[in-house]
Amino acid sequence: MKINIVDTTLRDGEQRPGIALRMVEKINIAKMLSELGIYQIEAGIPAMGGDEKRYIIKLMDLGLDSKISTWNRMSINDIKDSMDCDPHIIHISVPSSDIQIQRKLHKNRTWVVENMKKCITYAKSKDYEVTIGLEDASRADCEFLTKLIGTANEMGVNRFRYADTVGILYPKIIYERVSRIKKQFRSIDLEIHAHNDLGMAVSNSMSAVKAGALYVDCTIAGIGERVGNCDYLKFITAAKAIYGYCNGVNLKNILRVQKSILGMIKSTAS
Amino acid sequence: MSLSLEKRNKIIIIDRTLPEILSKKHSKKRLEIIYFCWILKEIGVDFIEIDAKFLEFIPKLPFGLNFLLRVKSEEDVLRSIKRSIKHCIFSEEFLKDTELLRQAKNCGIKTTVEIDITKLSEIDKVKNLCQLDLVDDIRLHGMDLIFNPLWIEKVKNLSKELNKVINICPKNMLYNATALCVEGIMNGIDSITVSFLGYGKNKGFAALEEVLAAIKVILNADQKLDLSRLPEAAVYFTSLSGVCIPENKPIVGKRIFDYQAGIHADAIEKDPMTYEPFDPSMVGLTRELTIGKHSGKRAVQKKLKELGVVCKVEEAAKILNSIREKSSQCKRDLYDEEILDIYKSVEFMGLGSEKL
Repeated sequence: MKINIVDTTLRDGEQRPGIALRMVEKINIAKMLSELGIYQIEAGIPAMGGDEKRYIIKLMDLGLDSKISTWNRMSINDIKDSMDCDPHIIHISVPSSDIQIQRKLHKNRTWVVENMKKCITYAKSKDYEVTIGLEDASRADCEFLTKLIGTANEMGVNRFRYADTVGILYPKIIYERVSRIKKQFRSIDLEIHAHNDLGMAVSNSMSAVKAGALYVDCTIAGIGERVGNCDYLKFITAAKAIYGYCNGVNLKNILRVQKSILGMIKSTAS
Repeated sequence: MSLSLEKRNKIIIIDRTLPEILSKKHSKKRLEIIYFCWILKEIGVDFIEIDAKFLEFIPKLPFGLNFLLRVKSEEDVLRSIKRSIKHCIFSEEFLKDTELLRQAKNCGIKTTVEIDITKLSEIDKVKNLCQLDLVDDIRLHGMDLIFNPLWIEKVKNLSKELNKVINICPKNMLYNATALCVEGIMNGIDSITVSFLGYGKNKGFAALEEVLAAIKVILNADQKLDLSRLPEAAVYFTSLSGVCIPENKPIVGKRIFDYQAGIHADAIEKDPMTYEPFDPSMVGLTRELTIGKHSGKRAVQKKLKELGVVCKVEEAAKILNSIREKSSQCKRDLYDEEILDIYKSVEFMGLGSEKL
């Protein structure tokens, strides 16, 4: 089975307080990730403007082998900023739990569905590949997740990111939830986005893969918000040993690239 | 404070940090070792695993703590009798030494045998081992390649068949040890062995603090479990082992609740639950807003307010670019003085503000 790695070192990874990369460093990191054979690089958030946008435009000019995606809030303005960079994939993050919808956005589920539809329509009208991120899916109502996936799928979206935004899931429950979604929507692709708050990001990602997720979000050395994300090297090591997946990936190469990138970041991550 | 879950009185937690530390480093900090043991007990550990090295160093064991002695030789059993240690753990080869096991039992010592397993299929083979009737409990150690959830039923069946408590001590070779312990506890396994920070040879074990926090957060269980002393335990651990704890280490990393990115900072201000798995105070930590490359205007406004400057959000937005540039140049977050300097330089150029 082919597992596609979505590396988010340059987006979620860089969001970790204490990390601030320059344009040239971000471009070098993207080159290294592409040389490793990473399927997709989540390059950043164009809506930040300034250097972030300029760097992604430069990145697209390089024509790397990896697909380049940008992260967007559910906002037409964010998507317009992304389009200025002309990435391969526009990723739209859709808050899916009531905690996020009510306490962060002060909105309701209907508003989320309608706004998601507007954003998908806009991005699709410009012929972009769109992926949807189900932000905080682990705390969301399963029926609402089904509604979001069904609605977006009808509009031509085929890949969905199941985000354990605050890192509170464990392997058995991830397996059950991913399996259930796959059973309901056989044609869609699922992407797992695990955070390591309880030390189970690698195990959770492995479990999602076993349940049918074909895309796994990772970062170099697991850097990211709070405790961080699924560690790329650790995930590949475990996936190879336990399931025999990712056999074409060379662990020594990952280790070499990890050392270089951590050197750039001057991070204390390990 | 022992861990208890609904309908199950007690889950036994054994911590094996100290033999792991002492095998690498001959610490001379007796008092700190004893304090560390006490904190472990208060956090939720039932038995502290020790070995002969520990006994050489601390011959008189502190009263009120439960110890489990790792037996590596016949003399260790005598040491156990001498120090009134009521629980010993033997490696698998000691199953041949029936006399030694009988001697331990006759002296009222509870005996556990540690059996190495790697794969799921090896669990069934455990019951075929000879002389298992001479030990009270079994510890399954390793479990490196076990990922299939079927292991839990297999272990429970083994426990039933042999009428013995089965303790699990997964190694973290493939980064799965914490998940094995958490799921084991959630599904009926009654006894686990872990170490602080997962410390140990060859990538170590399940991390005590991760397992306890996971149980508390996921099951919302055992509200009596007090994890607020974890930072104190971390200080003693570092002092004894010489290991600096990474700032982003789950549960005990000092900066895991720092936040900066605009979207997160804004949401956390509205309600921390939006982007936090649990309240930082649960594990004795605090959250802190940092200002750097990813900060948004509202975060800058809030930080300035903390520093005694009240400004409108539009004014905060005007210094965002300078803050981001400075942060990228310095490759770090900004210090308070630097934020104030940037603000003052913009204010000097005509931005209105009001001092508190």
